[in-house]
Amino acid sequence: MLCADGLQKRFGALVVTRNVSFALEPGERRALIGPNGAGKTTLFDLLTGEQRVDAGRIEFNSRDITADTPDARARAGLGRSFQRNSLFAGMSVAENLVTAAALASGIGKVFWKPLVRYTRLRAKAEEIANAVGLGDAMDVGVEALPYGFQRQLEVGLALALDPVALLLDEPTAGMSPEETVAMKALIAGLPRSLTVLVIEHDMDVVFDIADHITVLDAGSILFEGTPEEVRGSAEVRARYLGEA
Amino acid sequence: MLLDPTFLAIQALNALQLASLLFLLSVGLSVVFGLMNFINLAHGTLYMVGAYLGLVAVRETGSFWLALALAPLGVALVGAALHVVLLRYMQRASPMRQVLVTFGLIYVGLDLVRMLWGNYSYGIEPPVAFAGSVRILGEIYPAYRLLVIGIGVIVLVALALVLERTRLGAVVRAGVDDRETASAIGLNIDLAFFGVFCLGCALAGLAGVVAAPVLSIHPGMDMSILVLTLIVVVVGGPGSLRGAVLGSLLVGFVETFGQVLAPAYASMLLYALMALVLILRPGGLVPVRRVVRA
Amino acid sequence: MSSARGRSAGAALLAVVALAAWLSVGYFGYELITEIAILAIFAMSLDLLVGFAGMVSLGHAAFYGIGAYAIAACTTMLGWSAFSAMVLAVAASAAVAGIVGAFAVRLGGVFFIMVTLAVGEAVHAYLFKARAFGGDDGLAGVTQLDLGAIGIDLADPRAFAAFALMATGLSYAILETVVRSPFGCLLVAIHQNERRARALGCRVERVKLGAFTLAGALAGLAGTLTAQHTRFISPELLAWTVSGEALIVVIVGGMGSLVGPAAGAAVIVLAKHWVSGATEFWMLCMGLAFIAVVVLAPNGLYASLAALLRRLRRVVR
Repeated sequence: MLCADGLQKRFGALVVTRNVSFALEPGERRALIGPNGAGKTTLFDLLTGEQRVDAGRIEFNSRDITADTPDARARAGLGRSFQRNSLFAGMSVAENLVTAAALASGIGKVFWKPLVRYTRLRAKAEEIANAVGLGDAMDVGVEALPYGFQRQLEVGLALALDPVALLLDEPTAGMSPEETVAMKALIAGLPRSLTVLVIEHDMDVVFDIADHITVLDAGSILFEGTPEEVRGSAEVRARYLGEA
Repeated sequence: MLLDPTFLAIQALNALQLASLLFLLSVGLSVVFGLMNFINLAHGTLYMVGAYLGLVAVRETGSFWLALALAPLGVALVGAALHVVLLRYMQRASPMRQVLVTFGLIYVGLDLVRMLWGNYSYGIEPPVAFAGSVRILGEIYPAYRLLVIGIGVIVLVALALVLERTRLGAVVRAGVDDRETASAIGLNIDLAFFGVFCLGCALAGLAGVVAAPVLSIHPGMDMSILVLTLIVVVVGGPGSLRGAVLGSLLVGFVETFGQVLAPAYASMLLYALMALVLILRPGGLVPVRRVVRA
Repeated sequence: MSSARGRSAGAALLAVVALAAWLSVGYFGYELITEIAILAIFAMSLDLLVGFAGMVSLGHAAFYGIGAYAIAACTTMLGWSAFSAMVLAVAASAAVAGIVGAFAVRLGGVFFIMVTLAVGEAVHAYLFKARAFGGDDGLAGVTQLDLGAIGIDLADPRAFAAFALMATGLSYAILETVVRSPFGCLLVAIHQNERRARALGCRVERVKLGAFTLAGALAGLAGTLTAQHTRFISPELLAWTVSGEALIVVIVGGMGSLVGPAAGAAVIVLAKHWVSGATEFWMLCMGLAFIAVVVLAPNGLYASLAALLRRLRRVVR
């Protein structure tokens, strides 16, 4: 579904991504873990097109997307949530989701009909809001939302795209234990037709939802395997999990 | 006529003279932009104020050289006052509001100048030492214009030394490269910005005095030079000395030769140049490389 | 962000005021009304860019001037009817806006400001020097639209003022429709978070270009009206002060509200005439007032008024 082959990226003298290759099966739940500065978010940026690769290939849904722009990849079904909330700050929850839904349904070029006439977009927005636990906050302005709710909306926007693959960057970052539980349930509840790649630091979340785990360290892949294999690996334990 | 070596030499010198002026104006604007993502649209106004202050200085002291020293100082003080009273509050607000405030200052500056000196055009005589002419390949050429080129070169060398050899220079280079990290490690970026901003104002004032014997002093001299300066910043790339030099040379030559060969189309040519550079190198010829956190 | 309901209410209010004014003023009043109406169209088109799309242009007068020059050239030099010339002029402004926009929209905030300023000056300088278009003497003898078929003579200032106001109403209707459409929603989304819009599949440059072109076309329309009003045009129509003044109108009136800039146009024109009567240093006053607005009420009069009304409603309840 989503394959990376030999990705390389450097910023000046700093090599951030070093010969990274991996392949995601359709419907797979993959966690990407690693210490800070390992290059996880940069890898996401390479996959979504926000950064150009210096070398390597990216294949999505059997198509080579290495040269595609970020918006082209999004239209092809690659959704993403950001590590730091990236929402439409001046709009309400509903407006955020309606905007995303409008983009997904390709009506962006219509300039002669009012947006409110498209009732199915509002219905879709409600559906997504309910799915991410924001059903009661539809008309609340984003700036007024508590942080955890904003994080949920962050995921909701990516979902509104009707993606085929979803890249979640630290969805539980900065969340309280209760909020983390809610987010975990959200991710676990995503349809199995969706391929999900999650960057996470919260190991509970990781071991709970992941089919496979990829460990990134200093720009290259340190280890790849099932949760049990990762837990059992002395190397990973020493470098990352912090156990003796 | 185009291939006549004398013609080429004379126009090349004119181009270098314009480039020198543009360099004095653009380097301050460019580094401030690279450091704080802030463009002072009233930079041309400061240039104009420098020219008028130079006029006053020459009238009062009779010395062009004194004016050359005093006017930049005066303009730096004006810039410092503006920063302290107005601009730094906008810095916290948003870069766009800051730019808009400077835009409002253009109108204020224009009318203040008209209030004090009226709508007339004035001139300054070049200093006695450079009042004559020299022979360039058979043509006579005003010696003063060579002084303009010289001043530009001197300032370039001085700035290069400051940037490479002094602490302020190091802080500026760090700040332009990666502002967040530079602040995080304790470098006082705000103070560096203030210093660079005042220096940029002083250079604008210097450009005003230097230009006065060649161009006339009048309200409205601010905008024509501002647009050229902005093109230099855009084409050369913000934040670097090299960008300012490259941009000034490019714009200086295109504008000079354009005005001589096809005056109606000269600005179109400049615009086309700007468009071409931006299409090929969207960050300018010497772009600022922003380090992205991994 | 202004609400659609607020804008409609504001527009209705302005329409009533405009009608009342038109019915009650004398000759000089009609001149003022026309001046305000034309500036309102120009400012509203700029508001689409500045207030909705977040693209601050300092060269918008270029399209205004192209519209004016196109109709002038077609009627005085080619003998075209004013109607065909108007159509061509708006198309020409749109076309040039499309060309400039094609590469300008790829630029971010401050770069965009600088480039649009440079473009404005480039077109200004060209028309100043181009003898083919009259150079700095300008062009005289622009023909007005022939509405004789419906019994209206636009040479009558009263009729022209009404004509200009209709054009303003039409421009507002077009802009309001666009702003309420999905396209308009995307414009605002791009303004608020371009990265997010892109990550959701939005063709950002295409949307921005659409807005830039539409704004250019409406500015061109305003230009054709000016040309027909004064029947004489000169390169001064494209001076940076014209772009600057429009930007001031948008920001003082309240960006992103359409109605605010339209009202702002009235405020600026009336203030200019009033202040110019007292002192010749009108620009000093305008500059200071503009700085005050940017510092104290950056969202402009419309937003301040809307906030005030909201607070009043809460008190009343």
